[in-house]
Amino acid sequence: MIDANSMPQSVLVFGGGSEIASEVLQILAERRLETVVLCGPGFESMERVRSKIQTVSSAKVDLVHFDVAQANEVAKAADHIFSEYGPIDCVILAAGVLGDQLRDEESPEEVIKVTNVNYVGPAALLTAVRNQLLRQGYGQIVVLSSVAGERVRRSNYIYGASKAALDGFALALGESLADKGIYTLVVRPGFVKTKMTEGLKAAPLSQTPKQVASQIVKAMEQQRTLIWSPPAIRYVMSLYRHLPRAIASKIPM
Amino acid sequence: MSQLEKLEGSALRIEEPRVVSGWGRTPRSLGRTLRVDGQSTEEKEARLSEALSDKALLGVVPRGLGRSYGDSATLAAGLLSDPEDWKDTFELDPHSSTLEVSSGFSLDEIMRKIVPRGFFVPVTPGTRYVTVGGAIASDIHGKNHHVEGSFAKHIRSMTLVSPTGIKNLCQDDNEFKATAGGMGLTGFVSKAVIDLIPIKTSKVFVTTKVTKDLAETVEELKTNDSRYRYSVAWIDCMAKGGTLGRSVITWGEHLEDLDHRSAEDPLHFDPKFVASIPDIAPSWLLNKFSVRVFNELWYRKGKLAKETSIESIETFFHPLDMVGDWNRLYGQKGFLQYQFVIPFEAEATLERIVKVLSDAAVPSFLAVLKRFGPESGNYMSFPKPGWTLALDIPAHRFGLGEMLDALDAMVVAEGGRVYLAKDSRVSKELIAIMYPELKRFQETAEALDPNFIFQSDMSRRLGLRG
Repeated sequence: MIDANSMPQSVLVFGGGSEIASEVLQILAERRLETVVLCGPGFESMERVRSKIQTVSSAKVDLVHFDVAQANEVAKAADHIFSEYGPIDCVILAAGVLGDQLRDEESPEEVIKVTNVNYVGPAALLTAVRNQLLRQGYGQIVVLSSVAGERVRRSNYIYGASKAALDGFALALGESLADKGIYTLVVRPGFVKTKMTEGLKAAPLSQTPKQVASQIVKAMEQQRTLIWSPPAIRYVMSLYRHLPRAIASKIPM
Repeated sequence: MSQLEKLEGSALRIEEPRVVSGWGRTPRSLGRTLRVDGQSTEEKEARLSEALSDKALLGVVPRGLGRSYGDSATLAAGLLSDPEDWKDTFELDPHSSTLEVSSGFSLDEIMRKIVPRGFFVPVTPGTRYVTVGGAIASDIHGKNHHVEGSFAKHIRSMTLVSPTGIKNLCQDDNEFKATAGGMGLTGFVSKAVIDLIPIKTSKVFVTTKVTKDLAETVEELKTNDSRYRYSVAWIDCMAKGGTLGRSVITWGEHLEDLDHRSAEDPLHFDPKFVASIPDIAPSWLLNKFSVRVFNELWYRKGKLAKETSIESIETFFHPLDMVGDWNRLYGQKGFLQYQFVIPFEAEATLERIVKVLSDAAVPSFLAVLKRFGPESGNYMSFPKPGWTLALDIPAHRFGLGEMLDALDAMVVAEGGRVYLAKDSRVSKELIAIMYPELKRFQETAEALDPNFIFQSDMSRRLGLRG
């Protein structure tokens, strides 16, 4: 169950190999965490997350194979996970793929792949999760979006557009669940130094997964529904969003 | 759902899911109200008992007026009872000073009927808006605990509807000890016979003492409590430095006789709402500045008060009841109450805890400090000899969880415990240490309810049912 400080005892992660989710779990493990279910396509990265959690706590961690890109299958898979492990206090959606803009922008197939992993699969999955949380009568959802979704930029518009769709979907889903006792947090990180961004030049205001995670847990405790990480990037994005197109298009972003 | 079909057509009805929380409005969950129709308490007991014998029944938690602060009377995807269904029995016996009463009646409803006839409830908390069922489930205490103990001590007998049948329980029964203070987890209390206090007037003779710091507060309570039936200190946990722990202490006695001016209606009792709080307060309304100003005013008002005065029952016992829905003052994000007890000899720890709260500038209205009397012997009852401190804190503030965990550690190290009726955040590991009879409680509850039908969000969070 979830306590009055929003600390969950059981957490289900989609994108179970995510470094940000891993850091979130390590913080939660110091509070009330007892059981974790990691779902993802790759067991190697999930094993790493499991051993990290178990160095700081005695929480039980289970691994489940799950591919968010199979949009037609995710609901059935999610229902199965809930019937096995439910009720589940907190669901973290951390699945995502950055893609390679320069390669992908020529390939309709790659665009479909990125969009499936970042939006189509997650949207179907969040809908299944919504139904399960309503059935169990309580719960939390944490969705990792991106500042890339706030204002899609030409330097990564395939990823950005998929995150924009997810961001809007998750925010409105959260609003629709707020008066049903279910709490939703949408997180918009800026540049985070992870495997996903390996080899890329770090953007200004870049963060470590640990920094993002501590802001996520803080936001949960404060019951905020939308945060930026780092908080300052909110104002940068706000400014950028309001730039006239003629000027914005001249900025190499 | 086959369950719904089955219950349809019987005397039980299940309402649509709704968001339910405790008085602190956090945490929340979706539950359904279980309504029981019938002509008498006995008829309803029989119908409820039959429904509970169905192993496939959804979980059930008894719920009264929802005044416990946390998650003890909520159950996600489960069923909640409705106090309106349990108001058929009300038999006052003036000769034996006892009242046989259905569990859904509130202390407010009871007082309105018995005070004009010269009786008072044996124990009242800071609000009249608790049901008899809730008072038993939390084994509530009041300003007279140091003399008269907690609520269940004044129960002659009670009827428990559990999945293994309808039982009449008395003080010495194992099931009684598990049910009193058992947070509704052993079954449903449908009615009880309560010992009442005879009173001659509806007034309280009040002695007020304002203290300058915690040491003086502690000294005054230790020295003078035994002289009074009712005692409590309103303590300012936001005061700093030399004024840390300054308090307004009030002691009281039921007034024996009135002077000629109001002697015409000495048992008059008709408390009214002064105002009601609309649900528009923002969560930042109560902050360290606004609350500090309030506490300062309260303290100065205490200083101006006469040393002795005559007050009505409602102003002495239930000042907050004059303001309807005052929990809305904390806004949508809600609040929690932290209440613990530590042994008398742990005064130094009490001071350290008050200092932690003051240093953290937690915007807390005047907290309540009181000395408890002996333990009840009920397995999960909260009071034990020592100091109890209770304070309201706005929820969902960063760092609050860790701060309270640190206070828990200090409380447990002294052999103290927190009050389950207030709790919404204590860690599971500490419960067995705080409540050494937990195991016996669990065994008794399991014998009464082997299929674990009686649960709550709290019992799931803390593993109270094992």
